[in-house]
Amino acid sequence: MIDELIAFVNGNPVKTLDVQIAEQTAALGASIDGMESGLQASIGDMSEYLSEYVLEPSDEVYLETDISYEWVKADGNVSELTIPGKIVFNTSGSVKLTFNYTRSSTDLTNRLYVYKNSTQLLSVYASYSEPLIITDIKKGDIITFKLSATTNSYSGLWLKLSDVNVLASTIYARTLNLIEVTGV
Amino acid sequence: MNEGNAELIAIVNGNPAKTLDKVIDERGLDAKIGGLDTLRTLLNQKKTYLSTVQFWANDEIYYEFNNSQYVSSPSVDANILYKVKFNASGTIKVSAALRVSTNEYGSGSLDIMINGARVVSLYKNSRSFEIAATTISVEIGDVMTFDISSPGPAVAYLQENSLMLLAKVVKLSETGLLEVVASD
Repeated sequence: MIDELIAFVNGNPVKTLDVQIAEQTAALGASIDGMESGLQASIGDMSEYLSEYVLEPSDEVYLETDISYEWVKADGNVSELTIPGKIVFNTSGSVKLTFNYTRSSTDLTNRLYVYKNSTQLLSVYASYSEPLIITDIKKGDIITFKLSATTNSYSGLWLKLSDVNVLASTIYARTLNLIEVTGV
Repeated sequence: MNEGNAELIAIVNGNPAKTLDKVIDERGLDAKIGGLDTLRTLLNQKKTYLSTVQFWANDEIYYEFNNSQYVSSPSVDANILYKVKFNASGTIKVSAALRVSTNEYGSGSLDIMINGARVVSLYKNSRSFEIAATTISVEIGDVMTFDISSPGPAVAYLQENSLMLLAKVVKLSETGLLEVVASD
C-alpha cells in the first residue's frame, strides 16, 4: 500500500522529491547566475563602447582647471616642488594645454615642469606662453606640474602659475578611422 | 486504495493523474532560462545598431588628398596612387577638377574604381580646370582607386589639391527620420 502511495506522488522512487527539487534548484541557480553575469558584462561593454569619446586638440576650452600656484621669495627657494592639483584623463586622445606662467623679475632662476605620468613633457622659464600639445593620451594618464625657484636677490620676488586650461574637442570614437588611405 | 490514502494523496498532489516528479520535470525552466540568451543576442544587435555610422554624401569635405597634379599621356591612363579602404558603408561624393589639353577629341575622365572595377567616371571637356563630382555607394571593405584617361591624342589633367571625398558621417539611428509616401 505504501509503495502504491509513493508511486502516485513520485514516479521515480529511486530519487526522492526533495533530492530532485534540490538538484534542479542548484542547476537553475547556476544557470541564472551565469546568465546574470553574462548580461551584466554585455551591458557594461555595450555602455562603454557606445559612450566612448576621444579628445582632439582645438581652440575650444574643454576644461578650465583650478590649478594655480604662487611662489614668493619669503617661501624660500624650492626645487621641483609639486604644484597642488593634477589633471586625470578618463579617455584617450590629444589635447592642447595652455597656462599663464609669470614672474616679478628677471633676477630669478626658475623652471616650470609639466609631466605626463612620470615623463617630463615641458621645462620652461617664466613668461613662456606657447601652448603644449599633449599627444598619445591614454585613459588614466595624469598631468602634474612642478616648480623650481631660486634667488639670492631681495625679497618680494614672485612666480605665478595660473589659467591652466585644457583645450580640446570631443569626437565620438565610433566615427574615427572610417577610411584608410594609402599612397599619400 | 482506501479512502484515507486517497485523501492523503490529494493533500500532497492535487492532480494524482500526474506524479509530482513529472510536474517538476515538465516545468521547462531550463528552456526558459536558455531563452534569456536571446536577450544577449538582442543586446549585441542593439549595440551594433547604435554604434554603426554611415557616410552620407553631401558638400562637406570629409577627406582631402592634397594631391599633386596628375597628367595622362594620350591613350595611356595615369594611375593615381591613392587607395581608399572604407570601414563604413553609405554614399560618398567624389570631387575633382579636370581639364584636357584640347577639346577636339572629347572629354578627359577620372575613372573611379571599386574593388578594381570601374563604377563611374567624371568627365570634363574643357581646356581650363572645371570641377566634376559624382555620388557613389560604398560598402564596408570596399577599396576605391582612380585613373585619369585622355580622349585620343589629347592629354587629361587632374588639378593639384582638387581630389576630395565629400560626405558627412551619420549614425544609423539618424537615418530614415522621414520618408515620402504616395499621396492618398
